[in-house]
Amino acid sequence: MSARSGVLVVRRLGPPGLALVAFSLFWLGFATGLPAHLGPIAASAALAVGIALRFVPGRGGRELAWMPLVVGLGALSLASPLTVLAELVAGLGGVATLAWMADDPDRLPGGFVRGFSTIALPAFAVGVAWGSALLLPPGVAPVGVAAAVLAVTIVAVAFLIGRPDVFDREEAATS
Amino acid sequence: MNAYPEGGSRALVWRSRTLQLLAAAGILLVAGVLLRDPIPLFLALPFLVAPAAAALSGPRANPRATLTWAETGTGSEVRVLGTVRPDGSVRAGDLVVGIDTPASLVERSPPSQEVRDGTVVFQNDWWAPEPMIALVPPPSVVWRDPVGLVERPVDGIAGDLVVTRYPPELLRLGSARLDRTTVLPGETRSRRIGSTGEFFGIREAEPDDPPRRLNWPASARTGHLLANEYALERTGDVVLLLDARPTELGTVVDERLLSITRAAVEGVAESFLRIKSRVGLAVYGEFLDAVPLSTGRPHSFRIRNALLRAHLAETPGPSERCAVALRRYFPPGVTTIVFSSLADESARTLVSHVRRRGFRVVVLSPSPLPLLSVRRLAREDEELAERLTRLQRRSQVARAWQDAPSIDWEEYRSLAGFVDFLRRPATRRVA
Repeated sequence: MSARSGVLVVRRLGPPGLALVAFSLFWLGFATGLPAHLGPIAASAALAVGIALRFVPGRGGRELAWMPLVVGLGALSLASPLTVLAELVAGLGGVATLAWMADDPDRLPGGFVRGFSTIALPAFAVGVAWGSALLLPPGVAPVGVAAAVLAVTIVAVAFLIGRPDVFDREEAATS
Repeated sequence: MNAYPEGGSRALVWRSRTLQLLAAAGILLVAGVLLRDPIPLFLALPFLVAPAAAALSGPRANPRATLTWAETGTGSEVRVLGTVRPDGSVRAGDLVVGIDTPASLVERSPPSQEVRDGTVVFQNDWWAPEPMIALVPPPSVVWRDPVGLVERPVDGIAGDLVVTRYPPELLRLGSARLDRTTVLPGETRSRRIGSTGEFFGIREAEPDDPPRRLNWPASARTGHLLANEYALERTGDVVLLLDARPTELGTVVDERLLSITRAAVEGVAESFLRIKSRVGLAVYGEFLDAVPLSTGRPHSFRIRNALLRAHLAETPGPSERCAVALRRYFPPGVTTIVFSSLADESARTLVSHVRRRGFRVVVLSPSPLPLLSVRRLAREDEELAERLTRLQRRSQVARAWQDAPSIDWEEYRSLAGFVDFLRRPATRRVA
């Protein structure tokens, strides 16, 4: 394998983001406690399909490589017993998936570093949510609060998608 | 032409990945609420926040960038090298540069991009299988957040690139004088009288005639002042008629043939303009688009622009319309080179109609056979089918010969047959 193809393989793997996603997947996989090692097997399968999609020739396939990881994380998070640590790892999995998406092999290198400003805000949101879950009394009430917060977020996102110009800043006529 | 013209798309654009991410988050949210399990909600939270974070992390207005690019290949190799330098509002690494491969070119290797000193350097390697002339629109340059959720168009990217590859024999075409085509296609010789050129005759001198134009010996013999007249040197006029109507060969083959023909037309026009001939251009699709006879360097740009505008017509116009319209722009008797594939009956009737309207016609017919040969046939039938196709083609060209001399142009990289015909029209019959 030449040095150039070696670099290409490493770029497609996206090591920093992939390591974090793999950690979250396998942590949740082992935490599920499903019989016949179903948890780790599901984690391995999601990881394998995601990596395989990064190596398909068509760019369309590589664009969708993050999906198997999200499916795997979602399935394992539903099967995991409710613990504070599981919540943190699930949030970390989401952030790690974003980091892996930033390491796009079809774009210029350094996406993981350049994407820090985009990933920092979701990571902060996860931190705040997890801190709230840690401090609030246990029970179903925090679920309702979180669901309400998420619903508001979805409405806000839907509004922003419909009006992307709210992110525009008009240049001053004198500038 | 600009992919994102000034004042065009101003707002940022949500990419499909954003919607996919939000859909996944929505599913996790519903599952978490229904099962009263907060863990999926923690997984969904980053996906819900990420689009807004991506939009806020970028520029708040369309960034600007400067494009510098050129074509540097030789022969059939076409290499486009360029740089995109953004203004200070965005990092070069966040820019995505995309160039569409023109239809007449084939990609040799995947395009490459890298960042050097805050500038995106891109390179596209293409291959021109046939002579062609293509307009490469400026690359689409967008700012895209690293996660790939939102993008903004970059302003200031403008400037088309013209890629041309001519048959090399056109360099020899300049030595072929149009008046040698008198026997078959004919030519109109200019009789314009002027102050330079070959000696034409003697006339009475006028007060504003310069002393050098006075014919002093003749004036001495007659006792009054006489001046020389000159016939302007010009080899003749030529009209290049490009048949851009669709044929039964299909759109793909027609488009490729048109691209090859455009390159030939521009090369032939350049060759005749080089020897000071007047050249006119007519492109006939549904209607006639004409560039009147003229000469000089500006005229070569007029012809090039008209050729770059030329495209395959959706609806073919009747042949007679072309001949009638041609008379509005060009005088009868002018040598007319018709570029047509002769693939169907309407192409042959075009030649006939143009000839009947008084034009001296020569047909340069790009053969579709090299383009059709890529089609895979059954092994046992392949040879027979090829022979039949070749016979059919010869028959088409032979029938066209009934109206005008026709040159079958099969080897696209060479116009030797055409050049030889123009040099020795009376002795050669090319079919």
